[in-house]
Amino acid sequence: MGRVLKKEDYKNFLIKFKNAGELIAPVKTDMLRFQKIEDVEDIKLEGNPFFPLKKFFLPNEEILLKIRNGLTKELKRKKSFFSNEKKKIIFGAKLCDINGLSILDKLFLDHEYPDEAYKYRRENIIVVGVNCLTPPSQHCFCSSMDLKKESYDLLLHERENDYYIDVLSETGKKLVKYLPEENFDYPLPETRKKLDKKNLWPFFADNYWENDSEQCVSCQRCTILCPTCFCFDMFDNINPSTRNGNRKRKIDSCHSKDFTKVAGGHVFRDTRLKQYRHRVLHKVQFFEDKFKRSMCTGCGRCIEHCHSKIDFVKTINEDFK
Amino acid sequence: MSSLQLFKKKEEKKPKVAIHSITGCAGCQLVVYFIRDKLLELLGEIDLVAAPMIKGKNYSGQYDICFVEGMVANKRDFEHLKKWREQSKYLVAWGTCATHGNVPSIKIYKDKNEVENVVYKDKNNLGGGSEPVKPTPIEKHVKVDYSISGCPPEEIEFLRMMQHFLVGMKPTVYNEPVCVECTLREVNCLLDNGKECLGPMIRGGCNALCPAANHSCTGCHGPIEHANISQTLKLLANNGVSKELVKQRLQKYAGLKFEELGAILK
Amino acid sequence: MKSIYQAKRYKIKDIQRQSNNNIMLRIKTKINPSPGQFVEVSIPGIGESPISTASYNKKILDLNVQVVGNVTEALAKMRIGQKIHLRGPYGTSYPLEQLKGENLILVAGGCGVAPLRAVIEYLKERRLDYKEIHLFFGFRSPKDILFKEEMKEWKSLYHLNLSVDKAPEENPFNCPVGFVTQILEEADISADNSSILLCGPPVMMDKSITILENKGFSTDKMWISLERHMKCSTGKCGHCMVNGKYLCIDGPVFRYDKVKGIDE
Repeated sequence: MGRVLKKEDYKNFLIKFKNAGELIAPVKTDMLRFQKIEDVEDIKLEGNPFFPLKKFFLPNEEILLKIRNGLTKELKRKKSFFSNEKKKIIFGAKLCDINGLSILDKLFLDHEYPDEAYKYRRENIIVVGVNCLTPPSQHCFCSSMDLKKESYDLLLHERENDYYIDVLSETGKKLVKYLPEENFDYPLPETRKKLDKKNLWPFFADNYWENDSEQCVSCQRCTILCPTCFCFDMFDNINPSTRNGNRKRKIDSCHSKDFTKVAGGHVFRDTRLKQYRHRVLHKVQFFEDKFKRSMCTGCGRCIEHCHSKIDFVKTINEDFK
Repeated sequence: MSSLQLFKKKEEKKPKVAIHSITGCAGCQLVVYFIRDKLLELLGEIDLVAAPMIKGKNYSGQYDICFVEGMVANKRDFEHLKKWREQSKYLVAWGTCATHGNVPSIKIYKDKNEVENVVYKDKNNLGGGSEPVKPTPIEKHVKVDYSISGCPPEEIEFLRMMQHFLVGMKPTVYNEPVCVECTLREVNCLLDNGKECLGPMIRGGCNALCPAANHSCTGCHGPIEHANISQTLKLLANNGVSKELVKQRLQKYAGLKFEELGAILK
Repeated sequence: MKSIYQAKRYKIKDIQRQSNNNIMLRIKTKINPSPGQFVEVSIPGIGESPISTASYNKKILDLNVQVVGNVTEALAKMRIGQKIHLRGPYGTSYPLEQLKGENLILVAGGCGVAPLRAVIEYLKERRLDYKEIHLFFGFRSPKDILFKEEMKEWKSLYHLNLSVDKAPEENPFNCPVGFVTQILEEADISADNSSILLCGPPVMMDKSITILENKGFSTDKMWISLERHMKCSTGKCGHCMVNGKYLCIDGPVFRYDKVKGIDE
């Protein structure tokens, strides 16, 4: 069951969010970015923000444990590392980014080893999505990636005279309970580009990986900007004189040269071909094998923001036959 | 440093650190002396035995760590460097002059006499080891244990290296292209927008200082070893950047290294 | 809720120098891993390192540390009574319960012997549950042989085949000189009702597997332990992933036919 918002009430609807906590939404300057909103007029919904939603749940760098009096003394977890964060409402995320959260949930909320900070943020950050009427980029291919209507609190779908608001969570319900109810199954965006899903194992040793990876400059933009890339590095940082510091994690990339380095110096995936193949197969094959769901949500950022515009969708569709 | 520093007993000696300089602008040294908020604290942990720029009395025995800025431009530079190498347990090339030759090594691509006539009044009467030699980074002359490039290098990289030394670790130096930090800062990509940015093949660590200020990366940190040079050059050519400009940019900071990597023809 | 990255502090009870670059730390802890599992050892300020467990004992955890990186170098400088941080155990173990009633063939090279030492300690308590037990352990030189004292005991209890790649100086164990794979090739072992447990450098494991396959062993009777740098050990950070398998939670011990032919 959803709700209906009249177009003339849209601005007030956003101001209500702004008063409820820190409102974050896409703002266009030289490009579209998620930013803290001071004036709701700044919000821009056309296009997909440069950096995906994941950064609010898995920051590029964060403290995991506190080190006090170095070395053997103490290693402590502090809840305040993340629980002091202001209550956030993120407005204007697209369904591809939101589905990215479902993917991250599978890893960071698993039963055996749930990640504390991620869990806290998932429970406390309110996500209000916006449905794409037309694909924001020519590189979008989400309609072939089985996007699900999940992982958001509310989602706005624009119709001719009003907005239909899909409600998924209790928190979301409270925010819109003043609006009239309606039952409507909103349509998902239809993209022209589509990934022809297939079993890629038979193509593991194919030459086409090489054609693509030769153009790769190892800039790691594809992994940094992917809504589901989560790999991180862990390291300690202490002040040599006070011996206090932190154990941190920091975003890492399988396209980094040292990603598979082991003590002693050996690097397992030492070529661009191996790194590129690993990334693509992780997205569309490895994850699928394990969770019966593609890790790729079809946002197209890894193609759009690639310096060389390497298009793995094209390679899979046209060359792997 | 014989034992792990953090396990050291109080009476054990602090590591002896030296900061020396050969031909260069001395800007790299200044970076260290300008670390206002952390320098005093750091000096409590180390014994800065030699730093001719800020000290009158300098120790000339054994160093644990010796930072050398500048490059070898004359015979005397080489003699100093050789001596410091013998004196030091770890020798760190500090700054792009030391690691890659930097601006002084542009001379290689000019007419030798023309350059020298501009610089020296009387070239034939220099003496004292000042006679110019081919300007080269210090790794061409002595073994270098660690390198931190940058023109000037970043203070955070100095502090990180000292931190690693002081806890007894092998220092690790940031080894990703400029694009990584640039993307994390959500900078609108200059290369994608038709500019002459060298980001993909240049070592970062600068937190994308220039691209974030809408200025193309000119490569002051020198190349990362695993850069895909040919593809980056192709991307620059696609942007309509002239071969001559690219060549000048590459020769400016790390011409010799780019020659080795095949980016510019000898 | 507890942080999954939190490690606890434990005291080092004893340190035994095993070889030039191997030490064994004995730690008083309640962590009781199954043979084949590993723990994350850390020194706050330096970092974490995954170390395979070398004992099967309720009270003391033995860790054989090969000195190769920052953390292990720092561990090598520690003294008895000092404290280190541990979290774990993580990963899969050798399925010893499931292999009851079979002949076991343990093949290892270098510090790969460490996790198999845990297997041996487990077997010692349940010797009668298993049939013949063959050990094929190879080291670089007599100086590099680990667990020297225990080798004597193992020799009396099991079919121990110890070998060294070269013996430039004395050879106190009088063991044959040559690769462990050669010894394995010449050994009289039967594939009938036998399982193989392997651990060691990739080249040695690949070669051993080829030899064993030629001898008629089937790949679903082989259990191997793979190596990567596990950073989080909880199936998240992505560093140990090979072809969709996380070595930290899906491994490090795999039935060989499940990972046969995996390429990077």
